[in-house]
Formats: sequence, C-alpha cells, structure tokens
Amino acid sequence: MHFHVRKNIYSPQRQEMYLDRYEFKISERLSDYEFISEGPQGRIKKVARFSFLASNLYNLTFGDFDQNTGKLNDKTVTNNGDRDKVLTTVALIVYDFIALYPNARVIAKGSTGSRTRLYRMAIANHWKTIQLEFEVYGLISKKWEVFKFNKNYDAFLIQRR
Amino acid sequence: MRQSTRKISSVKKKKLHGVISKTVGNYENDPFVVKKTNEVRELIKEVGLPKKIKAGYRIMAKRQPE
Repeated sequence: MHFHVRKNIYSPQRQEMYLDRYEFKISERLSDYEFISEGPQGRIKKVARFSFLASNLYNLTFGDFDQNTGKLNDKTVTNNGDRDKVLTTVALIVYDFIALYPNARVIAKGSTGSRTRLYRMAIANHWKTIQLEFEVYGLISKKWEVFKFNKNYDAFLIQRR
Repeated sequence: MRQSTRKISSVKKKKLHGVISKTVGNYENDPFVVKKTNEVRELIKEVGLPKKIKAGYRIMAKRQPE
C-alpha cells in the first residue's frame, strides 16, 4: 500500500515567495477567479476560468475583462508594469484549484506564442516550489515531455504529484 | 458546475490563497472561454495526454467539478 504524504503547501518558503501578488476572489462554483491589476494603465480586471474538458482534465483560460464589451480576451497587451505579480497570482490560482480538486490536471495554452511563453515564465519563476508538488509537462511538436527550461512549448499540463 | 451546501462547507475548511465570493462572475459561456476550451479539446484529441510518471502516488478525488 502506498501512503502519500502531502507536503505543506503553506511553508515559510512559499509564503515568502508569494508575498508580491494580488488578492483574488474565487466564485462559489470554484471555477472562476478574478483579481484587479493595478498600474500606470489603471485598474484592469483579470479573469481565470477552469473549464471541464474530460474527467479530471480542465482548460485554463486567462484574460482581461473588457469593460466595454463585457467579455474576456487575452490579445490585449496591458502594459501595467506588473507582469511578475500577475504571473504569481495566476500560479496561486492554479494552486488553489488543484488544492480544491487534487486529481485535476490543468492545461494552459496561450492564444499566441508570446502568451504561452508567459505561462512558461510563470512556471520557471516558481519552479523550485512547483516541482516539489507538481508534475509539469510541455507540448512541443505535438508530443508531451517533462517540462524543461528554455523550450518554447505550445501548451502546458500541470498535475499534482 | 453544480454547487452543493456540502461542497461549500468542506471548501471553507481548506486553506486557500483566494477568497470565495458571491460577486465573481460566471464566465462559462464567455465566447473567448468557449473558443479557447474548444481549441484545447481539439488539441487533446489530436495529441493525447502525457503518461503519468508516478501513477501510484495519485490521490483519489472525492469530487470533481462537471
């Protein structure tokens, strides 16, 4: 019989790492997450949504909420000077979702190559912590492989170890 | 996703970085979300999923959103 000992995800190391992030709200359905980016361009609502794909498999959509249209997009370049803070917040949103659904596997794919590279940066920035608890895969040339730095993946899949 | 009273009460016991709020919107049917989800669904059909490295270490989920 295997016993899984879950590591303390609220370790001092992580607390320190994630101090510079935005507070975010979670919907009661536990699938939608919102926070406000603040910077030179003003206050911009950011939304992350986990959509069901198949059993224990979810797609992460992340984008800006357009006040004019009332819809999301991730094509706009916000330039709010808070990229790392936003990426850290998104990483914590994924942490929370997987904490709520421990068997969930989350796929993240940006709408453009540069957006997908941002996801890679988010993973790379927090790799020391992420690798303790999660398995991360990258999709390249239509094949999944264990995540490696400095590779331009088309998509990522993250799941709890 | 369905939401039950039991689910909410169990969620409140978990330590989360975020705060559960009634004010958060539901983006399930947002065109951008639908488009992205369909794209990824098609991608997965084409490329499949990575094999688990440590299959014996997975925790059985007690629940999952629909």
